[in-house]
Amino acid sequence: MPATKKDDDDETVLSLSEQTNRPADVALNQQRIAAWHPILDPVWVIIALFYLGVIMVPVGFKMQDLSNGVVELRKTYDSFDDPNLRECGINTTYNARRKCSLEFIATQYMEPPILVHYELTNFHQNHRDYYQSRDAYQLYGRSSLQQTSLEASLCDPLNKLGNVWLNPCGLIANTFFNDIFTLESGQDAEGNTLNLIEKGVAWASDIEFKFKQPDGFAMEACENPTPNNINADGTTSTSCDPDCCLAQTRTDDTAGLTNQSWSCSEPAVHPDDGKCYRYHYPDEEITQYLYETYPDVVNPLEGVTNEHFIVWMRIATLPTFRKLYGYFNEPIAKGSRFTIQVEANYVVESFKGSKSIIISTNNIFGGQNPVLGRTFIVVGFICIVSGLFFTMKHWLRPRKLADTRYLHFKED
Amino acid sequence: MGKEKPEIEEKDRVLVTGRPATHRPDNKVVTSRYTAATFLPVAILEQFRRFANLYFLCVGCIMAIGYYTPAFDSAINPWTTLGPLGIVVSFSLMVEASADIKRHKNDEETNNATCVILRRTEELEAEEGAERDEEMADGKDVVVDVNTTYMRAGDTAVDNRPEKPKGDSARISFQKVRRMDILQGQIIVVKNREMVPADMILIASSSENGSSYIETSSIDGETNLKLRTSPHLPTKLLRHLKHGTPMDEMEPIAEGDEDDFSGGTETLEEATRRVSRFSSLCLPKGVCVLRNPDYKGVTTLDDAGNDGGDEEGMFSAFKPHMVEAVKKYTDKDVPVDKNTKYVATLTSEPPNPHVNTFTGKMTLPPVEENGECWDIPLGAENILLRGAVVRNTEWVLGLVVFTGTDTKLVRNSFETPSKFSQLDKLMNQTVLLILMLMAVIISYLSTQSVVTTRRKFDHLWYVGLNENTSEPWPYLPDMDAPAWVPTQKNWVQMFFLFITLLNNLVPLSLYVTVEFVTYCSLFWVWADLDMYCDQTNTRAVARSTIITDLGRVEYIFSDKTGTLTQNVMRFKRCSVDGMMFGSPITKSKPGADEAPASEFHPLKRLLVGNVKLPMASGLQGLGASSGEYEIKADKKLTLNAEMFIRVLALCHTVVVEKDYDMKKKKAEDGGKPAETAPMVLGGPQGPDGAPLGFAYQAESPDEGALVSAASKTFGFQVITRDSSGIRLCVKCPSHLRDPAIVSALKDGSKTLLSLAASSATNIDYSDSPDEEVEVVTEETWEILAVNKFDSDRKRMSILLRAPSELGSLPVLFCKGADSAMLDRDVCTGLPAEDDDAKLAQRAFSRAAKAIETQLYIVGATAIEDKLQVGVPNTIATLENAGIKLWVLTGDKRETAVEIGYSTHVLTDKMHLTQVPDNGEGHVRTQMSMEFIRLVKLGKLPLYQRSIVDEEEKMSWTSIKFSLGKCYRAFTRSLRTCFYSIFFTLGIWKDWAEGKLEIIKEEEKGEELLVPDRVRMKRVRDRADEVIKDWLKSAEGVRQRRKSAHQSHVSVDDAASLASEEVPRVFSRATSARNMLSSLSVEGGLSQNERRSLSLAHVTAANASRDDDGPIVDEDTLSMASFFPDPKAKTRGDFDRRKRTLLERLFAVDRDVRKGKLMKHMNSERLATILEQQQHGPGINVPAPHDGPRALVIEGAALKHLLGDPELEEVLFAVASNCEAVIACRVSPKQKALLVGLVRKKVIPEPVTLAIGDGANDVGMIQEAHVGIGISGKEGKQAVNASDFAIAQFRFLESLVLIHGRWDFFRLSTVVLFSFYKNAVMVGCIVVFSGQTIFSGTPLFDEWTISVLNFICGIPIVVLGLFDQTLSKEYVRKHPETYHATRDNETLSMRMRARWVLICFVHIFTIYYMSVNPHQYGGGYTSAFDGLMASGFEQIGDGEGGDHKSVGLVAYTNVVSVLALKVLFEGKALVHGHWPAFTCRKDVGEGFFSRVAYTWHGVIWGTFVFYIFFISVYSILGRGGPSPWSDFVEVGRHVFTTRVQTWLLIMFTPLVAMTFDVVFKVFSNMFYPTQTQLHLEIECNQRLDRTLFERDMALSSRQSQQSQQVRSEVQL
Repeated sequence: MPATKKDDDDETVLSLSEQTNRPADVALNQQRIAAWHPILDPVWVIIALFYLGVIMVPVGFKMQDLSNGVVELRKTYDSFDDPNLRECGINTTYNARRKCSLEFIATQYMEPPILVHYELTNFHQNHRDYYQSRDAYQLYGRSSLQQTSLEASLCDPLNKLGNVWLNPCGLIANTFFNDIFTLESGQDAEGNTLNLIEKGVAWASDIEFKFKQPDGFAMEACENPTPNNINADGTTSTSCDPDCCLAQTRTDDTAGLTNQSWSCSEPAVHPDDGKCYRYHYPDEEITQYLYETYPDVVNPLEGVTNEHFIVWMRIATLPTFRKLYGYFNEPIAKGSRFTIQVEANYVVESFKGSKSIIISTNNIFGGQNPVLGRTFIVVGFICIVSGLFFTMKHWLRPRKLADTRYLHFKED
Repeated sequence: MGKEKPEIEEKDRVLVTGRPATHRPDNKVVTSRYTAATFLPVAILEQFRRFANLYFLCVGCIMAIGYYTPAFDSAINPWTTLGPLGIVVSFSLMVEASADIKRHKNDEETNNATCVILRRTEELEAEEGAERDEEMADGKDVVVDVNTTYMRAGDTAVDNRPEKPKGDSARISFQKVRRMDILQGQIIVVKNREMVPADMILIASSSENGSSYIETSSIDGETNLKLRTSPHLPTKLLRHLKHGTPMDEMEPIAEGDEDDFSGGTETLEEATRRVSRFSSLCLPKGVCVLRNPDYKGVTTLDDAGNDGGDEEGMFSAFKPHMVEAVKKYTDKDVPVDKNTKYVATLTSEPPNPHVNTFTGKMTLPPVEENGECWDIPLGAENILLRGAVVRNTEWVLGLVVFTGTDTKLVRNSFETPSKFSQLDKLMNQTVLLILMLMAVIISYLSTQSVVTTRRKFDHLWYVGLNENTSEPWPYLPDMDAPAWVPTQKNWVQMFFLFITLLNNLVPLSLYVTVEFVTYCSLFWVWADLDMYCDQTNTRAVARSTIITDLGRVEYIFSDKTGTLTQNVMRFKRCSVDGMMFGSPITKSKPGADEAPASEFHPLKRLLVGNVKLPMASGLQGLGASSGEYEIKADKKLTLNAEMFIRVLALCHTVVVEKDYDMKKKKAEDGGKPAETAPMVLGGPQGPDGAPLGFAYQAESPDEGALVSAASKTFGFQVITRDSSGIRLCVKCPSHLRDPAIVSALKDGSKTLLSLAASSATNIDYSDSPDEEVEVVTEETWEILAVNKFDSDRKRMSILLRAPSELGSLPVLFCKGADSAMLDRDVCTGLPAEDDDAKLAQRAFSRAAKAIETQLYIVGATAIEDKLQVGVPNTIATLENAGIKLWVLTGDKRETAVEIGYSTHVLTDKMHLTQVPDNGEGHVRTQMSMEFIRLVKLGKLPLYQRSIVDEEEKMSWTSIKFSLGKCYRAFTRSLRTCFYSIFFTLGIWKDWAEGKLEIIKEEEKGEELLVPDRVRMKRVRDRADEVIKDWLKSAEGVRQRRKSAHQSHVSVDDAASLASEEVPRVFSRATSARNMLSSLSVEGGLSQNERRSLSLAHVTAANASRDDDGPIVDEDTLSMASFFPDPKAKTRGDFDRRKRTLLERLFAVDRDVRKGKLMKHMNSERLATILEQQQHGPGINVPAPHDGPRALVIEGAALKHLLGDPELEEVLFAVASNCEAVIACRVSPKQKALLVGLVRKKVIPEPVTLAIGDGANDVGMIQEAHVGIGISGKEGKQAVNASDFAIAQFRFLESLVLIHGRWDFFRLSTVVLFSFYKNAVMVGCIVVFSGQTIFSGTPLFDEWTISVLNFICGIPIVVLGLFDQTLSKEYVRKHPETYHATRDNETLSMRMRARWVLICFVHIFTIYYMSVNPHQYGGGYTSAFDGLMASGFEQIGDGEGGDHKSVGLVAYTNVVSVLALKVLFEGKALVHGHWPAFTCRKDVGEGFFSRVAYTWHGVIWGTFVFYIFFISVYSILGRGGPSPWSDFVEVGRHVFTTRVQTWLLIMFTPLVAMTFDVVFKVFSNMFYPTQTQLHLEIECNQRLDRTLFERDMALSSRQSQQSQQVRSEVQL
C-alpha cells in the first residue's frame, strides 16, 4: 500500500546539525575501549600450574640448600626452661656482671661478614604498651622536663622515679639488653686476631634522624686527652685523668659553661678516637641519663646514640627475635675455635625466656632461614597436586569449554 | 519557609477581594536549603546521617577519647581515621554548598521579579517607596465611581434607602511591586508571555469574555495552550458591574439577550473599574459579604450541602466553621447593620497540591433591593496557577488566591522519594553483618587479651605490670619504685581498644567508591549513543542511582499508549452509511478476519458520496438502514456524511492557535492573532497536520487527529474556537441550509434517522443551484455547553447552536469510545428536547449522562496509533531474557489482545487465558481452574498436595518462623512497656497513645501471619473449594454436560496443551507407571501405594463417562476429582492421596518430556535430544515443550480477586507462571496497585520495572523498584517521577540488558571487593595480635592503614567503570545471559562463600609469607653490596626483622595481592590500544580512550602510587620527631637493602593468586556459572570467528536434519 508506506516514513530523523544533544561517538563514552577478555582455560591453567610447581619445588630445594650452606653457630647461655642451657645464668640478679666464656668451633669455613646476633625468646617487644613507650622528642634531644602530657603518658610508668627524671624515659629504653660480648680469643683464617666490630650495627638513618644527645649536652677534649692504660693495681684498663673535669687549667669556655658545670665525676674515653673528654649533661642532678643506668654499656659521650641502644630501640616483630651485636670482617677457617666472653647482666628468668648468641655467615637471602625454601616446596607441591587433580578431571570427565549443554535457558 | 511545613489548614478559606490577607504567607518562595548561618551545622548534620560517615565519626571519637584520655587506649592515632573522613565530608560539603548557592541565586531572581498590583491611589501615595507602574494605563489612575446601592444589605423597606451619593469615586492605580510582596486577596495584572506569579482567579482579560490562554509546561509539562475563563457572571450582574449603574436604573434586558454570558472585550481601564467595584479597593471599609444576614450560604448550610447530590460540592463548600473564619479574619469588630457596605468575597478550598482541580466560589453582594447574594462557582477552568505563562492574551486581571508556600506548584513539588536498590540493601545488611562479626572478633580478642595477660602477668613486668607497686625498677634499684600498673586493663578497655584497631573492617571507601562508580554509570547511560533518539534529539537520562536494580528486573509493567505505541494518532478509516473508507486492515493477530481490501474506499470518496456498494455486513449496527442501496453520483455529501464530518470538526475541546509559523519567526510578537486567510483543502500543512497558519492544541492526540482530518481531508476547517463558539470554514454545501429539513427537525415531524435514510437514498437537497459551485463559507457555531471527556463516561459531548443561516438549531454532538457509545446508543446526534441555556451551567454536567441518550449514530472512526519503532523486537528480546512483561492498559480487551499480538507480547505459541469480567463466581472459578491446572502440570510445585498435605515437620523455616514470632512478641512487649510509662505518666500522652495503637495493629497483623505451608494449603483448598462450588452451581452443571473434554470455563482451553505434546495422558500414564514400578523396585514406593494408583482405571472411567471421545486431558482428569459423581466407581479410590501421586506423576512425566530426566526417556526422543546437543549450533535453544502461557485479565475482573488474600495468591501464582500478562481497562490507581501486589505477593520479592509516559503512569512508576519515564509527548510528569527517562521503548533493551547487566556485575564486584579488601588487611592484624599477647599492636603502620582505602580503591574503581562482562553485541544476541544477573549470580551464597574463603586463604598466605620468614632475623645480605650503595651504608642497615619493616613488607603484599585480585575479578581487561601513543586514525578514539584507562596503567599505576606514597611518608620523619618519625627511612630499608624482601614481595602475590586461580578453575570445572559459560562461548567466537561461522553453517544443516528426524519421531 503506497499510502501506508508514506505514513511509515514519518519517522523523520533530524538532520545532524539539529542533533545538538547527540552523544559523542568516542570509544570512552560508548564503552568500546579495546579490551582483552581472558578465560581461565583449564588446559592453560594446568600447564601453568605444572610449570609453577616444576619451577618452585627445585627452587625451594635449592633455597633450602643455600640456607643450609649458611654456617650458623649458636649458643644459648641462659634459659628459663632448660637448666642445661644456663651456662651463664644469673637468676634474678640484674647487672650481675657474671662473666663467662663461650667457645665456638667453626663447623665450616666462614665467609665474612660474620654477624654476631643475640637472640631473646619470649620477650614481647611488640606488646602494645611496650612498643609505644618512648618519647621520640626526648630521644631526639629534648629534655625530659619539656615532656608534654601525651608523651609522658606514652612513657608511663617510667617517666620519673621519685624526683628523678628518666632520660630516655619509657619501658624500651629502660629494659635495654645490657649483656656485654667481648671476643676473648680467636683467629681468622689467616691467623690474625679476630676483631669483633661493634660499629655500624644500627641503621644509619636511625642514627641520623632519630637519636641525639640532649640539648645542652657538651663535651670537650681533655688537655691531656690520652688515657692512661695502667691502673694503680697494675691491671690494664682505660681511664682518663680525673683532673680533666676540674679543668682548673682551662680558661677558654667553648660551650658557654663554667668550669663547675662540667658535671662529670670523671672524664670518659671516646670510643671512636680513644681520647679523653670531659662532658656536660643538662639538669644532671634531677635526671637519670642512659649512661647512668647502663654504665658498663653506654659511654657517657655517646648516650642515646649508642648503636646497641639504637638497635634495641628498633622494635622486634615477634617475641623471638635476633638483634645484631657486632660482626667479624675476617674469614674463619673450618674447625678454628674462638671464645666470646659474656658479661651477663640481663635477666631472662623474669620473663621466662632465654638468650643466645648466634654467629652466622650470610647468603644472598641473609642468614639461615629454612622458612623460605620450605614455603617454596610446599606451594610447589600444592601446584603440582592441584594440577594433577585438574588433569585427572579434565582427562576423565572433561567439561568442554563453551559447552552449551550446561546452559539452562528458561526457569520453569 | 523552604523546608518548614506551611501551616496546616484543612478548612476552607475566605478572602475579601482587594484586601491583602496579611496573616497568610507572602509570595516569597525559598528553594534553597541553607542560609549562611545554618549551612555548617545543618549540612554537616546531614552528612552524618549517612551511616558510613556516622560510623567513622563515632570510631574517630572513640579513638580520640582513647588517645587523649586515660580511660582506655587507642591502638592507632585518631587522625588516621578523622583525617580521611574530614576529606570525604568536606568534599561533599563543597558540592552541597555550590548547589545551594545556585538555588539562592535562582530564588533571588524569582522573588525580586516585578509584578503589577492594583492599589488605592491614596494608599499608594501614603506609602513610602511605593512605585507606580508607568506602563499600565499610561501611568494614570483609574477612577471608579462608587455606586453605593448595590453594596447595601438591602433587607429593609424602600424608605430606608439612603441617598445615592453622586460623584463618590475611588481612584485606583497600578503599583509595581516585587513578586515576593504579593499578598492573597490582592488583584494583580499579568501581561502577555509573563509568568503568573501566584495562584489567582482569572477575573478579566483583554480577550473576549475575559478568557485567557495559558501554557502550563512548567507545571505539568504539557505544551498545548489551555483556555482559562473568567467566572461566568449572570448578565444582570455583569451589566451592573460594567456600567456601575444601579439595577433599577438599568434598561430592561432584551428577552433574547437574557442568557447572554458574553461580556465582550474590555479595555484595561474598564476591567479595572468593573473588578474594583465590588472589592475593597473601592470600599475599603466594606464588610465581607458572607456576613450579610441575607446570605443563604450561612444560614441554610444543610440545604446547600444536599443540593441535589451535587458531585462537585461547589455549593456545599460553605460549612459552619466558615462563620468563624469569616469573623476571625475579616472585619472582626465591625458590627453589621443595615447600612453596612459589603464587598465581594472569595471562598476557596484550602491549599493543596492538586494542580488539576480547584473548587471555590465568589460571593458578590446583592445588586438590588431584596436581591440575593450572587454565588459564582469557581472551578479549575478559572484559576491561573503560579508557573503558568499567559499566552495569546494582552493582559489578565487576577485575584490572588494562594501565595508562596500555599501555591499549588510549591505544594506539588516534592522530592521524589529516594529508592533503595537491592544492592544498597545488601550493602547495609553486609555492613551490619560485619559489625556483628566485628563485635564477635573484638570480644574474642578482648577475652583472650584478659586471659592471656592474667596468665602471663608475672613475667610481663617489662610492660609495666606489677602487683607489688613498691618494687623498684630492676635496672634502677636505688631509685624510687616506678608507677607500676598493678592490674591489667579490663575487658571493656580492651574492647574499646580493639574497636579502634579493627575499625577498618568496615570499608570507609565502600560508600564513596560505590557512589562514584554509580555516578559514572549514570554518565554512561547519559552518554550512550544507542539510547539517543535522533528524532527528538533526546538522550537517556538517569535521575536516580538505583542503576543496579536494572540488572535484576523480573517483571516489566508497561503502559501501552505512548510507550508501546507512539501516541501519534492518525485518522485511518471511517465508516459512514455502512461503507468503509480508508486503507484496509492488515492482519495482525493470527486467525483474525481479514477484510477484503476491495471493501475500502479512499477517504476522499466520503465527500463525493457516489459509492455504490452493498453494506458491509459488520457495520449494520452503525445506524444506517440495512439492505442494499445506491448513492447517486452527484458529488454531494449525504446527511450522515455531513453530520459525521461536523462531529469531527465541532465536537472537541481543541484550542486553535493561529499564525503558528509566523509566531515562530518573531516570538516577541504575541499580541492579537492576525487574521489569516483560512487555508482550505489541499493547502500547505503545518507540522501537526493542521493547515498552515494554524495549530490545533488538543488535550488528547486522537482529538487532534480528528480535527485535523476534518480540516485537512474533508474541508471543514476549524478557524477559531473559544468558549463561546467555533468558527468553521466549510467548503461543502450543507443539508441544514434547507429550511425544510430544519423545520422538520424543529417540530419533530421527522427524525434525523429518517432524514439520513432519505438523503442516503438520494432526494431533495441537491437541486439548489448555487450549491453546484464550490463555495467557501464561514459559519459560527455557538457553544452552549461542553461536557468534557472523562474516563468514566468515556465520551464527550458538546451542545451547539447552529448559525442562523443553518437554522439556529441546537445540536448535541457526542463522540466517544465505541463500547460507551453503543451501550447507550450514542454516537452523535440531535437532542430531543429544546435547549435551555441555564442547563449549561451545572445542571448540564450533572445531567450529562441523562442528556447523552437517544442519540443517532452517524459513523465510526478508526484512528491508528502506530507502534513505536522496534517494539516487537525489544519485547521478544526481553522475553528471551526471562523478563515477564505485563501490559497495563486502559483499552478494552479486544484491542489489548490485538496490540499484544502486534507487539509480540503475545505469540502464537502462547496459551492465552482470557479473563473477562463476567461475574464474581466466574472470574474466581476461572482463576482457580487455571491455578489448579498449573499445579497439576507441576509448574507450581509448592502447591502440590504432596507438599501442602505433608505433616508439619521441624524444619529450619518453621524454626525461623517461630523464632521470628517470639522475637517480634518480645520487642513488642518491650515497646509497650516503654510507651506505657509515658502514657501513665502523662508525658507526651498523644504520642505514646499513637505508638501503642500501632503496636496493637501490629499484634493483629501478627495473628494473621501463618507459616508458608499453612498459607499454601489454605490457598490450595480455597481454589479447590471455589471450583467445587462452581461445579455444583447450575451454570457449572450445564457446562459440564455440554462438554467434557473442553475446559469448563474458559473458551480456549482446548488449546491448553500445545499440539507438540504428542503423548497424551494414556501414554504418559503408562510411561509414568513404568517409571513408578522402576521406582518401587528401588524401594521408593510400597506395594500398597502402587496398587492404589489405579491410574489407567481412572482415566478409562473418565473417558467412558462421556461420549465426546476418548481424549482425556489433564484438565478433565483433574476436574473428575472435584465433583462427586455417583456413577463413577472410581470415587472411592480416587482420594487425595492418589491425587497427590497423580500430580507427582504428571510433574515427573513433564520433566521427562522436557529432557530433564534422561534415563526415563524413550529411546527415540533421547536420540533426538542427543543429536541436537552434539551437532547443535553455538547455542542450541531447545524447543519449548510446554507452551508459554499468557493471561489477559480485565480490570473489573481483578476487583473480584483482589482483597481476598488467598485468591490474590492464586492470581499471582498464575500470573507469575505467565510469560506475559495483559491487564486491560485498568485505572491508574489499579496500575500502581498491581505493581505493589506483585512486589508483595510474589515470593521472593521480584525486582519490578514500570515504564510509562503519562501522568496516569506516575503511581505505577513510583511503586515499582525501577520507574522509567518515556520522555515523549504527554508531558513531563512521568519523567519527573521516574528513575530513568528514555525517549523510546526500544531503548529499554540497552538500558536493562547492557547497562543494567554490566553495572550489576560491576557494582556487585566493587562491593564484594571493598569488603574483601579491608577484611584481608584487618585479618592480618587480627592474626598478628596473637603474637602480641593480644595487646592490640597493629601489624601495619597506622598511617598506611588509613591510606589502603585510597590506594586499593583506585583499581576497583577502574574495574567498576570499565569492566564488561560479555560484550554488548553478545548480550544483544543472547539475551538469556540476563538470567545470571537476575538470579543474582555474583551475589549468590556460593559466590559470597567463595569470597570469604579466598579472603581467609589470602590472609594466611600474606601473613605467613610476610611475617614468618623474619623470625630468623633478616640479616645482612651480600647481594646488594655495592649494587645499591645509596641505600646501604653500614652493615646494620641490612637488618630487617623489626616491626616497621615487617609491617611494610606485609602491607606491600596486601596491596599487591589486592591489585592483582582486581585484575582477576575483571572479565574484560580494558587496555585501549597498544602501543598507546600511536596516532592511528580511528574514528572517535580519543587520547583518553587509548591511554588513561589501560589495565596495565591502573595496576602498575597503583604500585607506582604506592611506592611514591611510601617514599614520601618515609621522608616525612627526617625533619625530626613527628608522628611519622617512627617510619623514617623504613621504606628505603625495606625496598633497597634486602633480596629476601623482594623475594617475599614478588612471591606472595603469586602464591595468593595461584590459590585464587585454583579455586576458580575448580569452581569452573565442577560448577560453572552461566556467565562463565557465556564468557567461554564468546571467547571461542572471538578466537576464531571464521571457524565459528563455518560451524554455524554446518550446524544449521545438521539442525535441519535433526528437525526432520524429530518430525519423523513425532509421526
